[in-house]
Amino acid sequence: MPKLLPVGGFGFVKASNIAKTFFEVAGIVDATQRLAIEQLIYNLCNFGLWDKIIALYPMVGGTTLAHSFNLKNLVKHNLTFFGGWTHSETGAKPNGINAYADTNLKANDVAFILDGSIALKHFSYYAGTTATPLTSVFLGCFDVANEFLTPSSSSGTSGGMVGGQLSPGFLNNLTGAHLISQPSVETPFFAKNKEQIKNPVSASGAISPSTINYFLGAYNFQNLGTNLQSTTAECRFSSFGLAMSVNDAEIYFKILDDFQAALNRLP
Amino acid sequence: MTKVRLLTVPQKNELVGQLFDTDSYFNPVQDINNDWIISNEETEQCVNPDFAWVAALPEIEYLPKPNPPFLPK
Repeated sequence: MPKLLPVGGFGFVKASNIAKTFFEVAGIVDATQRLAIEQLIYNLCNFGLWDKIIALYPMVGGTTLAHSFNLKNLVKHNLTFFGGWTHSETGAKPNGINAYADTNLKANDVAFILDGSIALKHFSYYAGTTATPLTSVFLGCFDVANEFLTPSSSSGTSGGMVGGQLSPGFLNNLTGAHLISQPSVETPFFAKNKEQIKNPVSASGAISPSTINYFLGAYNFQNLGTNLQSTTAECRFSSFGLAMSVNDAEIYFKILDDFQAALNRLP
Repeated sequence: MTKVRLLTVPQKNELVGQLFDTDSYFNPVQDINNDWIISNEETEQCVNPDFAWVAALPEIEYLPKPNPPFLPK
């Protein structure tokens, strides 16, 4: 299993180099935050997960600007914040009313691996606080298909990928890491805090990747600006990327928990 | 009870697409009565002098529109 590594060594130097520009543009000067970011990058690289990520929002630095950057690529898919957010050292908290962040990322922007016409991908959201209401949406969009992640949707599902939805929702202990991934058309899964992995009740169909941007902290309903279903769960990390396996997810959760622990903000 | 700030339609039109600080945009939305509102976070964090007037907007209780059920596809 991954572990926080001591400072030093070639791998850590590589991680430090990746992080260096992020620290400069995001204004990260705190030594603890810098070390946590470097360790995060190192662990993701070391376990083969870095290359599966398209956008990664570590929510470190406590300001709107610092929280807007995509650590994986500082010039693409940075967040644009709308409405009521509270930014602090513990993360970015949407107000559950009109808050969302536009990821400037849509499924058909990215060279996802395809299974038929379906782009195989993952979404994750590390919730630092409980969502109110439970049916609020951590992230996602509805274009021609539902693609979202939520603690428990109004229909009792936990998330949706192209062609399928997952059930049941988790109704307690809503803080921590949430992930939805679709390694193949037939095998999407939802996972929360690594030990709770649910299989889909349905997964079928062939629908083109979404052509509208994913929102973070809410739901982009056909670019209409309505039905945001903004959450109140503080975002302490989020990622969008290629599909992860169940084994990947277990490692990912450990890395993310180590990251939050290094920042002293485990929920 | 969650409180929000009530806007007129012209005020809403003035805020759409505008920054309230260097990195955050206003996002007026409609409540259950189809009245336009912004959040207290936006009014409290607004440092854009062009929109200092939002601090004086009337405060009302927020009554959200009901969420539609998710569609399977």
